[in-house]
Amino acid sequence: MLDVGRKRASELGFSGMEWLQGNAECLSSIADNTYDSYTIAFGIRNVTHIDKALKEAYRVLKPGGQFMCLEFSQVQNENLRWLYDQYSFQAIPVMGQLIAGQWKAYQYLVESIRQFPNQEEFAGMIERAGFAFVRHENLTFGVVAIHCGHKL
Amino acid sequence: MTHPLSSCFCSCRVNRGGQAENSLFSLFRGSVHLWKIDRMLARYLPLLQCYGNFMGRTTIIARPLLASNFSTNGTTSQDANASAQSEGRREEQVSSSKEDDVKFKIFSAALPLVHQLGWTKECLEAGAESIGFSKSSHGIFEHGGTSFVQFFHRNCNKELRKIAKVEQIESAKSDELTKVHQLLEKRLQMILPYLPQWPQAMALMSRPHSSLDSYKLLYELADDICFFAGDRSLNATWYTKRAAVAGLYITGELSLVQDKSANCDESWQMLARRIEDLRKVEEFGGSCSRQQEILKDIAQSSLTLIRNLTGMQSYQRNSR
Repeated sequence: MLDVGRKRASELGFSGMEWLQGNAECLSSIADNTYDSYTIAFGIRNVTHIDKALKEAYRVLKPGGQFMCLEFSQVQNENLRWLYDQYSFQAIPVMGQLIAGQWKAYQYLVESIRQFPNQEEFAGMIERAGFAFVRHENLTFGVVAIHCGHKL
Repeated sequence: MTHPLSSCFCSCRVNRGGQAENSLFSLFRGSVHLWKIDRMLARYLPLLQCYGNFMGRTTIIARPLLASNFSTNGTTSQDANASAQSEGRREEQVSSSKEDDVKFKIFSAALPLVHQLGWTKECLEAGAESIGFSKSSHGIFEHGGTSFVQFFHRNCNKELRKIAKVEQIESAKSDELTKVHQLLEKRLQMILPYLPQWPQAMALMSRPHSSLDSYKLLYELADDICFFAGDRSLNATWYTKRAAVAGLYITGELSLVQDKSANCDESWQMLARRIEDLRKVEEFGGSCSRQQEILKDIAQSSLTLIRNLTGMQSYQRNSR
């Protein structure tokens, strides 16, 4: 995945980027108060101990630094939620099998989405990690949510 | 037993059912029911009004109407007066949280840089860096320049309230309009240091997505000025006074922005002239009340005459 990233960066003309492989729950090679912002897109769902990852994010950010997380979340409207569930469990694994030949991976995907805490619970977890000004914004009725927080 | 609505309630029951023997019981039940609603409203209305002011919207329309309803009910008029004065006054919080502190620090550090960088995200970034916070702190002001200007307005309104309390404008001997003039001038003077960049601020606040916030801020300002000038009206003048003050503020702002005279003297003179106009309207309105009644009588009798002449007036006598 890092190789794909390197290739895309060079195609888009970005230079001066460092690529590092590590453990989100324990970013041992990064010192405290180093970075201005920390973003994670569709990644935090796959971390075993989400609170540890959040604590590490808090540690490596400078005071005033921004934490941003894009992740699947809960659809707010009940009727749309039913529709979305039907689509997730009936259609997505089938499409996964037909297009990528991987039924199980897409089954895991939709199940892990249901396991993940909803918008308010996740915002609570971010606050418990020490972040302030925590807010979230829903995209597509709550299918995906962006959570933001600042280290003070 | 003497609640105005209860009689309607009771007569309905008697007419529909036609059961005279139940009328006393339904009279009693109806009155008790309505008395309970009345008591509940008396207990919870001040709370609702505080909540409404906190949300900024819901009880704006209802406040003077409901308050005047209380004043007719003799026992609760004292409560209504006390609650009207204490309800929803945007009292400053005694303990501000760490979040508010940091936000205010970044805001204060960014203000002097407005002259070079304008009301923008870049100004907030520079301000944050100057006090040791990361550049990303601009995200605390969610919509960048617009949130910056909104925070500035909110801060100025807070300062105005402090000034009004410190200088005890409310208890001064001058009349209401003079106090309004004083407070308006003080508030408009707060934007003078940022006048070259003020057109940008006004443009940001007049965008559709910030229109709700600017309407709310303007309402808060007009309400505060009227309150500290001593307005305690409970009828339609509550609305007209606040509308007038809001209009005056906007006129003052617009005038200041394009004023080329020394010390913006033309704008202050224009403001004084508008206040004089309002004073004349007030005097004229007072002397007109007797004439208004006469006019009303004339209008009503002309209408009756026209209806008689055209045969539209019908006299029905119920035969029982």
